[in-house]
Amino acid sequence: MMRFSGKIAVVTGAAVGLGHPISGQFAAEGDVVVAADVMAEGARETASAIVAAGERALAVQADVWPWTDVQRHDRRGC
Amino acid sequence: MCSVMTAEAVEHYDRIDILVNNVGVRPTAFFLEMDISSRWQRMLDVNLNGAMCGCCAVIPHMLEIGRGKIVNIASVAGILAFTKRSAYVASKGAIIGLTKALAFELSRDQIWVNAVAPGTTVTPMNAPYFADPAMLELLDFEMPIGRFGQPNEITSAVLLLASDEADFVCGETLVVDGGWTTGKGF
Repeated sequence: MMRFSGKIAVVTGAAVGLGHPISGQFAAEGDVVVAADVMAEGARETASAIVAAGERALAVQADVWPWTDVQRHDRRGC
Repeated sequence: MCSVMTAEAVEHYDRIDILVNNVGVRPTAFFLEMDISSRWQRMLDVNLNGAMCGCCAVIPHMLEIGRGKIVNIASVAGILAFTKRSAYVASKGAIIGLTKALAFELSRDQIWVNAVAPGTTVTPMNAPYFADPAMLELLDFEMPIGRFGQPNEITSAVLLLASDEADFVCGETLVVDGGWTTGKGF
């Protein structure tokens, strides 16, 4: 079933645990996955597995929590 | 930083339609033995503030395109208490509250915020449970469906809430636990 078809899905903690299959399933249903994790290598592995399966993914190294990120949190973003 | 994550996503693809706040950690310690300044703080920073931060970073992009779906990964530990997991329980309970609060404020902006609360699932994080016969017996006794969850069974709930099919579902936490939180086995 292709429920998403080209939507862009960001998944945090994409390297291990549930993040990996969640990313893979979004991709399998037609999404483009942005696989984010503080572990760069793990994020790359998740994205690589998706690309190897013929789907689209981008790996991003990101820590979800430094305070500096939310100094400004309004409708323009942080 | 979350802003790095969203900046890269938007730079490559011009938009963000879906965010899954999945990241989480679960160290264990008795409350009275816990180093509050490091362990408790770290847990809340990653499990709760990390999800908040992810939302802060993506919501403006979702508002720009007029639609977005956020799925937070909670836990059955957001509903029931577990020993040596006070910070985890607090953080996951807070995720369920955050999910409702953001849905309440953002649903009219066509931003859906929901959560999935997985039960005991066969993942690396839970590997110690499956290596412990006593724990396995206890889990089995309390598990109405008589087995543990597979990752794809959690994933399918996440995908449902992220899809257009769930457009009338706002602020909900979908418990996917084989019936584990439905009652006690005695």
